[in-house]
Amino acid sequence: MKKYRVVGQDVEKVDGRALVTGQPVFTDDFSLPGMLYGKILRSPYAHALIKEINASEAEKLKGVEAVFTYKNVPRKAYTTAGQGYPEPSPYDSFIFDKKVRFVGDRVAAVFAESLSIAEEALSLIKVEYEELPAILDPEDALKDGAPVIHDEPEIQGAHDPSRNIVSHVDLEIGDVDQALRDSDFVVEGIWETQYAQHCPMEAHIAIAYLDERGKLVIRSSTQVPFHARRILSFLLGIPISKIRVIKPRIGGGFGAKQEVLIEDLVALATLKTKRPARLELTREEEFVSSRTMHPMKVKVRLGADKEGMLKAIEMDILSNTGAYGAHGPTVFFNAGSKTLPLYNKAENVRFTGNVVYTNLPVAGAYRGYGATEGYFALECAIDELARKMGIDPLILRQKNHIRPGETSPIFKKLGEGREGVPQTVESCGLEECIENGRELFEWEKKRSLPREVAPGIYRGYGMAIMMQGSAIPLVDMASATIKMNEDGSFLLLVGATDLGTGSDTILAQIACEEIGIPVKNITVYSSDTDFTPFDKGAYASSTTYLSGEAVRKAARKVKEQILTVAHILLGASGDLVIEDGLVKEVGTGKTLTLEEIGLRSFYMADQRQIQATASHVSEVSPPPFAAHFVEVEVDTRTGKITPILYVAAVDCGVAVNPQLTRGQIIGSIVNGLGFALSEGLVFNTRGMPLNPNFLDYKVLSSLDIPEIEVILVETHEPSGPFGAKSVAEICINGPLPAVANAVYDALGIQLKKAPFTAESVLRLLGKI
Amino acid sequence: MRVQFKLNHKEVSFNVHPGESLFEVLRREGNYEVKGSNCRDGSCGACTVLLDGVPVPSCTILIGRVEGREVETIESLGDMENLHPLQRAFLENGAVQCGYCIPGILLVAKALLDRDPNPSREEIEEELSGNICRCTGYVQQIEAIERAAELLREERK
Amino acid sequence: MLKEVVEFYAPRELEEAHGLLLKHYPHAQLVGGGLDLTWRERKEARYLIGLDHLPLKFIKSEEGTLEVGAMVTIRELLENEALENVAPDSLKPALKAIATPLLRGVITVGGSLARAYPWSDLPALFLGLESKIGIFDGKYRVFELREFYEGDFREVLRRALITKVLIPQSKGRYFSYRRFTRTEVDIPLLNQAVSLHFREGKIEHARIFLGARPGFPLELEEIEGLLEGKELSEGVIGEACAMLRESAPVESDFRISKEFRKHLAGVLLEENLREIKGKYESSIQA
Repeated sequence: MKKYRVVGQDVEKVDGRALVTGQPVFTDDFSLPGMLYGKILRSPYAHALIKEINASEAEKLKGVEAVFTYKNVPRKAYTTAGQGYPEPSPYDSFIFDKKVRFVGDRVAAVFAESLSIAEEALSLIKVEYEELPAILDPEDALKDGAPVIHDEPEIQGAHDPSRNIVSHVDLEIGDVDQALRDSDFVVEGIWETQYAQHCPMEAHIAIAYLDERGKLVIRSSTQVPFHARRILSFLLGIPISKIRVIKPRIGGGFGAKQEVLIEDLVALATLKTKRPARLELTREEEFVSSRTMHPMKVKVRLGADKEGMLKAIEMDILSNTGAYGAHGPTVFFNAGSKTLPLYNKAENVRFTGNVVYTNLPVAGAYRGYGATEGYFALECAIDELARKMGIDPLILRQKNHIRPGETSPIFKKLGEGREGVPQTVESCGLEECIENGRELFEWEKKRSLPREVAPGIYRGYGMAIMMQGSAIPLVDMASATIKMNEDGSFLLLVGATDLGTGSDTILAQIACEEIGIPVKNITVYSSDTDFTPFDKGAYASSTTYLSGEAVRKAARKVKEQILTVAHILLGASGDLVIEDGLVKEVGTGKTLTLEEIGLRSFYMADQRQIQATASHVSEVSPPPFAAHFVEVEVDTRTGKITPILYVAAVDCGVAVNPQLTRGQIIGSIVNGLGFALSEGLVFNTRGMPLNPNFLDYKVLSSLDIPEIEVILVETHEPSGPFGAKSVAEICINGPLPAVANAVYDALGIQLKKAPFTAESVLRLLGKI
Repeated sequence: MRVQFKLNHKEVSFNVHPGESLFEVLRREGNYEVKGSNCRDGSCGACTVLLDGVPVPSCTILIGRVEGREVETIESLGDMENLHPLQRAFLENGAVQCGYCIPGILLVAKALLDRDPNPSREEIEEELSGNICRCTGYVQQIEAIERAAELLREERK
Repeated sequence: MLKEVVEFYAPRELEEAHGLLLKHYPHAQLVGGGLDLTWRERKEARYLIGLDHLPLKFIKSEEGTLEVGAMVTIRELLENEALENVAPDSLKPALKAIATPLLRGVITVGGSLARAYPWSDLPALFLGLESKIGIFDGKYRVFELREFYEGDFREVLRRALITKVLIPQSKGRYFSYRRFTRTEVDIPLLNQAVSLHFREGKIEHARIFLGARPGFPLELEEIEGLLEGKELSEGVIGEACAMLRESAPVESDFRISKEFRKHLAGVLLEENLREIKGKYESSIQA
């Protein structure tokens, strides 16, 4: 494999120094004179009509500058989902509506001189509700006579709102029923995931102000600054040219900030009052009223022959998108499109299901994006099949998983809420992932040990394999601009949205590798819709792969411009290379500094700005692959599951920065372990969340994590920058099935509903 | 009311509302290095400061309690040019992703290493358990604290 | 921000603090660590009385009793060597499991006992340790903690300050504490403190409290009665646990069900009794 100078190195995070010294880099680390503070009034009912809303007392309160309700804002159906245009999500949301559809839905907003005044004003808004019957179970959404959650005439893009169906798919390749009949072994089951929330440490926050031109500037904690600008323009009826969105450093997003949730309100306040306006969600609002993972019931049926070859896979999903359908169709599609091609030996595949509205919090994009839910079912079913056949589940996987040079019809059939794009898998290190993980984990040795290690204490060993994608092919575009200064330093301007992932660093490394300079010679700016070129934003495992390739292309153009000047200056006819910031003539050893080139270009001859912009759209979405292994301990007296050792072998192509890559892998595994062990919103019978806080929504702490070993299995993806694929999402998919499979291995019980609480373990053991 | 205390080794004095928390006062006075997750119950640790050397979530400390005491934020560790070994180790070990939890975690780590220059991994995990980091999964942070302990021990030699 | 607050006092004398408490009744609020107040704003609290400058931050051993001042934080208590005299090897881990290291630097002994959240660890712990509580209501008074909680303590504390908790360092006592949590850092979903006194190989006296039921800690007198006068044999442990699994005074909440709590009550008792059995037997051998 080709050796790189900058790519593949553990380069220090380019924003790292600012972050470890606590510099004012986040949205809220910034204050403007005269800034107003906003608060949102939320619905106490799961489903109700607002019969009357009277804000006159609130408006009269001293210090209140603006109050918004459905009565004084534009009424336009839109989607909060920050996706490419036209969005595959239904237009079913309004800034404010006469109807509220979940506990925590928007009712009104107040902007005032201080937060306390805004809070007081909220209590002065009089609302009369007419409570409607609510749907609190997705199964009920489809029943005849069920309440209709979206009966507004403006709704667009939902499959059948009158039946609460956002999206519906009925896809079959081959003949699944026949293949199942012909199979020697058939298994089936239903696996269910919970209401999980992203819990970024920084809550959603946005600050709006008018600049000296009267332009609306929005500084926002967003993963999608360009989509946010487009959506705001549409929603508020002001031209794109009058809006600028700035994304500073982001305190985590994980998909929750791939939505436009508060920017519209600060924009309205600033447009109305001409004053800066700030709005930040409380932690409770973050849990209840921002976005969550899609709770799904995933039914899987598998059929295999005597040799252990899969003949049929059927996946049927009921996905709960909550009160609004942001990302509803696409997350559902991904539950199939990112999972089913993994077992491409099965010639008969069926993918069916519905995404339904309920009167519960709104599900959206969450790292993994449906694949997490799909893999929980699929990988548990694979283990079940192996047990039925009496073979090692590792071997069953080896027999059936996709390999380099192979394809799956699913790639074409299932895309982003529509048809996908056919592709052949070029790079695939899954075999090595399984092999290396198996070896480090000591799979066979561990599985031959007695499971009871002390009275009532059992150990179990489980695994799962998985893939994801890299970017959305033929949909999403990324671009980058690189400029050279006269001292030979560079500026990299990207719309790509580093939300803590380290993408600014990765993109700097890619630019520097291509040009031939060290990372210290480049400054990265992300993202500002007025000063950085378009990028779709941070989602769909796109940045390294898609934005990275745009950066590489721009860097190549810049390099060509530099070399053109260098040829003239050196009077050289032969090959020139740039290494460590010096231009060298191959053979003669003559050198030239980039500063000399920069000065000449600016001031002396053939004057010009050395710079280039490049854009990139991918025709494929090459999957990263991974094999996960976990050892758990279960205390059968309390039911508590403790993960002991977690091994993740991951093929993400060339790891541009192995240390940051490892961070993405470990971080997503620990989040996934949270899904498996403890996370989940709990609701009362009126749809009110009971645990919207860190006291009772249990994210894992440093004391809850197992020993985690990461193995990077490097492959070279020909379509990616320097062979890279994506890595940010894939590993969140492993813990649910791997832990469930390990617990089965320990105790012979099948955990089919996440999270796997101690109580659920004891119930399955028949102890309570 | 007026409250006076030492902030990063300097005497400061602010006009405050008696119902404010230390966190609210620090942010209002422009100490943006103190981050907050809006948990409001001290359960996330992002807003941690050292109060007389003890790490506490500043959102749980009423400002009246701070009179005459000593408060340290991440500013007291090191600046961009002169990083504290802990800050260096966090960068070198990939322990920083979004960075929002980092000031709090670094202060917790500093208090730990001040007390015990050679903590076991278990002690580090224990001491870190009041600070939520949603990005890293903690592993590289724990490794970074071990590394910083090494660096600090070498410095003392 | 606590909007309703108009004043923050920092009295230096207990009498002064008490005077302020009376003066501003019912709008006065004592501030120990203050966590409870910043977390759950109390609209009626307008006059805050900070206790930092009162002489309530002490830990001392006197005449077989460990006295812990009300303003001692859990972190400070944990750092004190005297803990090991109270309940060797069991009190320290119990305290270390409370809240988070950060919050242990904020939560005070007095604040925790005064607020007495049903799921709180300290009330159950100190009840199990047969502690007394010292208050100041114009006069210094000491009560059995158990009796104090049986009375209308919330009303009492509107006009009084907790000054200290007194933990007897009884030689013949064997103590064990267990809590069940969802993750390592969590409030207990059930907790249980057990003190047993032995005489000539038999349990002379038992004190068992079950907390986070999810209600406030209750003494398990039935189980105590079963244990007292008996040797702590495997048979007796089994019998006590079976009885508790049947009769545990527990309920459901959104965290876990009643059935699970019942089961856990038995598990915790088994673990507590086993730990005590081990300690007792090794002390006999020594």
